[in-house]
Amino acid sequence: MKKLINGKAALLTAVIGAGAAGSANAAEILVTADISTSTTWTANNTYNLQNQIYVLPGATLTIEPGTLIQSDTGVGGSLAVCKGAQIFVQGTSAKPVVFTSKADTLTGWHEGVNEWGNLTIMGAAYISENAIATNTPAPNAANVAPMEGLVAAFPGDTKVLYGGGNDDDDSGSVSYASFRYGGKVIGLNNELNGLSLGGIGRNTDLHHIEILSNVDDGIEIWGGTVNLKHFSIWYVGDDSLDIDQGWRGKAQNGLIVQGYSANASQGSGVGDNAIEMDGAEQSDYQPVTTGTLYNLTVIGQPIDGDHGTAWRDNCRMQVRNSIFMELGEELVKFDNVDGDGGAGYGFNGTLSWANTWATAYNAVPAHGNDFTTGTYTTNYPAQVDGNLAEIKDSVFYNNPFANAYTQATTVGVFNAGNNNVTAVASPITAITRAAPVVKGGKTMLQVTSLDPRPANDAVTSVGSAPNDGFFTPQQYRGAFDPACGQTWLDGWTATYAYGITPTVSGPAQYCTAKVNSLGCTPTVASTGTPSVLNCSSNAFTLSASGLLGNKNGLWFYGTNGLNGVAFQGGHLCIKLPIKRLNVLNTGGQGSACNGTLSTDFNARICSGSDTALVAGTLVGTQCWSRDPASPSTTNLTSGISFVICP
Amino acid sequence: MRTHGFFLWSSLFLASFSETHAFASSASRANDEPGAQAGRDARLDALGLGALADAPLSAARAELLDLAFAAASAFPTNPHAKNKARAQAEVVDACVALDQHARAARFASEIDGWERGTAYADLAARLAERGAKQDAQRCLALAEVVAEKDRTVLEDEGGQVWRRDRIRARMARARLALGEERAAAALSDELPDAERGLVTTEIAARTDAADFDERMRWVDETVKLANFELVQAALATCVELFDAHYADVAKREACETKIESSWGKLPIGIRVEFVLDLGQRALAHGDRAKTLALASKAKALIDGAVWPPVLKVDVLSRLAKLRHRAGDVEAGRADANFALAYFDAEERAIVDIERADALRPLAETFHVLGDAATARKTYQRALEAGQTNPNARPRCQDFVATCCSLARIDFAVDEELLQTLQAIRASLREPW
Repeated sequence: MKKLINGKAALLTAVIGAGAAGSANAAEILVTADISTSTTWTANNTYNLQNQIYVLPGATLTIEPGTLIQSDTGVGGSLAVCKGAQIFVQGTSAKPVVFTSKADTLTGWHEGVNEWGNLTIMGAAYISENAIATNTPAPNAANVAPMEGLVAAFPGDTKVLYGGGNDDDDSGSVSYASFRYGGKVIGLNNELNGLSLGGIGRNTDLHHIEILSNVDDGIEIWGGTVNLKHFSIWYVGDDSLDIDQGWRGKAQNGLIVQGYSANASQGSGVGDNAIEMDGAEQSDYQPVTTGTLYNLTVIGQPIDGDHGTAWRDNCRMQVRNSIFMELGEELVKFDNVDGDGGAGYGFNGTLSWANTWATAYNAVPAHGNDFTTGTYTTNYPAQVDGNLAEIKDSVFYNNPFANAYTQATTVGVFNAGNNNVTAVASPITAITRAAPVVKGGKTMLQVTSLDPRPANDAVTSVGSAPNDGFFTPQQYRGAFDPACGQTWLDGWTATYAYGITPTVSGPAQYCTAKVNSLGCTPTVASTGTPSVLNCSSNAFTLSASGLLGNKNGLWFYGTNGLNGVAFQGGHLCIKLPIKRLNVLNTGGQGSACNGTLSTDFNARICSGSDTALVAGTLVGTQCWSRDPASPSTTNLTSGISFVICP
Repeated sequence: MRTHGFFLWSSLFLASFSETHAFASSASRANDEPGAQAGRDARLDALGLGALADAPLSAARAELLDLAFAAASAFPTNPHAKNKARAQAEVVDACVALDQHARAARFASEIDGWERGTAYADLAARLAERGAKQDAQRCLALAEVVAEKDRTVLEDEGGQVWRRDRIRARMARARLALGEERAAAALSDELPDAERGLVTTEIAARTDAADFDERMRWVDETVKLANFELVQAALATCVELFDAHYADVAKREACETKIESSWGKLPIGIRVEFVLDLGQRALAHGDRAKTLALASKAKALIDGAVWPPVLKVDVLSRLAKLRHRAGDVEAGRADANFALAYFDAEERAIVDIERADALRPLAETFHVLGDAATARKTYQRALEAGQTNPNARPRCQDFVATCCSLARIDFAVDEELLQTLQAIRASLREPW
């Protein structure tokens, strides 16, 4: 059904092919007006953005798990959350929230961008910006900036402004959200990024975010203190991750795969830098970008791609436990100036490029514009050790550009203490590229299949991220756990839905089920990912069906290995000791094989009641139920084995 | 927007707390709900805090706190868990400031978020200052549970280290209040620079004359380091030393000079807050002349800068209060009137959800100025402005803030205003 939101009209039509998000026969809601009243978008509808939609100050937009926001191609539908508004995108691994266009089949990738807009979120944290005449070089609550890609309705329109003086600001949360084929162009140099984050405060929670085939950058962050975990950026037309205007945050577990999204120039269709980092809009402005990135897997374009990391205008960034492979140009690019008027490192008494790499994180020489005190308690909390700029404990592989490591060598990336490795064997498990094509004048080798789990030099790292409540200590390089066959991409991303990053080795059935007294063989299945992270909000469901109806039964498990010995007329699939979960009733009728037993094993993991249930543990599970007519009075299913993921 | 700074807190703490009983009968009704008292006691008993008691407080102010907490608790958990916890914690702050220890503990226990940890830690510090060391220790134990084990701090992707560190910093401050310097230092040592300032300034506030030079040397060295968070702590330390050694003119002038010589190109708002805080400290020592001199310095800084309108009304309000309290009634009045006129001129340019944030401190100022009628009218405007937005979230946030403001300054709430408050409370429902 098609409806105009706000009840102005009700045009009814059917929507088909929702895929992972949305549902067949859902109503289609045409979103035509700004959201001034808090609203929930529900999974039983699809939402079609018809123009630039703002969530206005005071309003909250909540988007349920499994909701599909699929806009008409080319009409310019887009979503922006104003400062003072909030958004809660409540996707889960099994029910992601997908923002895409009508051209997306939801089952396969196509070349295309600008099919709709993006999600822009604007907050009230400190930024450093010099475009507005009244902004000061020192941090100031009055410093604001107009958001790239948005158009003010009138001079002074606060709807498009971000920035302020509250680093603890809360714009809501976004989780398990996939953004595809966006970036509607407003004007030259004014494209929309996949996800635009301006002045976002640390009380905002962002994790499990995918950007695929956007015309401009994948994720761009301007200032603020927001942290980011589990992000996947593919085939974007400009920089994959772009940081600017004094971001002071942390990020971990990021996958970047460069390529093309359209047959257009580099920067508007063909990928540019993998990570572009500006310190501030002008080099001596404060705050200056100061952050830490852990566990990135960066896969470039080896023939005509751009840089791995591009550094500008006083940026201070620590990159650790990461993989950089098949980059087109330099691992470390000293860009220095950003082309927007910034004067580069060393300007007006700031640290030089060389000294930024040589200065400890907590030994920054004084500068007049520095944060010095204030109503905020944290200004640069992201770095806790090491130097202001560094790449450590990382692996570099097959970066063919002649000067790939020239600047990196100059700034000491290869100093022994940094534990970096130039590998001769691939640091990821498998990658397949398509035949070369020329797009935007550049030769592209699009990645068509990827198993991003670490291999060889990336399987273990020397150090790991601090266990500080945000970072997860991970003793490997890159974004993926080598022990987990199901990566954190599974279930919710476009690359998973399109078959580009399929499950490699998820939960497996093994052992033999017992035929019950009615002659039925029960079956078992699982959905979701067994995972420590987010175990409370994402289910890993074990289900048994074909059981006798209206009987008691339970799931049990063990962590001492798998088994298959004869037991009670069937097989015991788990080595002792076993642990039992709650007794449940199978439902159905007692005279039929219509009973089922389901349990969320992540709830067990999350409960903390079994300390053996940690990431990397092999678990065997099996379902037992009553079968009074059987000699043993019991029935046993086959087993499901799995390794718990982080 | 809603965190204008710790100096705002300070100014509120200095407000008058004389008792009134403007709507005691209504408050009594609220407290007479069947079973309410028994339930509350049982909750505190379960927490090991059954011995806590509230300081005497008028029924009117108690009702304002209860009304605020009820409103804060009305937030639907999905999706507003974070907003709910923050609003609840704001009420706990007010309770702690008013020595409503049992009420604060009860409310804190209902917070389902990391703010429960800071609430317990702040209550612990207050109890320690009041000599209730056993209860303070129990509150600290509860705070520690949140900091180290609570799912809202550490579990899932929402777990953020700064939340845990912020609780630990408040715990360290409470340890200092208990006289446990070593335990405080141990906690503080584990904190990142970003959160250590709270502890450092607390230490400075307890510095005796013999330690002054040592603290100032530390300030000097820290300012040279230019580590952002540590310098922040250093200048805040100077304020505390200025206060602690006020009688020694040379020492306090050294502190003032150090602050002004170290603020470089600091944001103007931060400079003004430092100057206003120094003024409040001087006033607390009865030095009206110094207070007025500092107020003049603040006024010059305010006049020379560009401000977001809400912040400008806020600082002008605080300036007016300071001048009034220092005896320059005319100047205080002029500043307050100017702030009100400025708000009127800028009102349409201020986003509706921020207008009450400007009016509330102005109302408090008129109350301090003794202009009950204008204060009443301004509170009424704040309440109305806070209800303009169609969504309950910002309306609830403003309502909670206004109730806490009224309770903190002991504003005599008349029946009409009470009815307005109750009507607003009842109106806080979908859409949030």
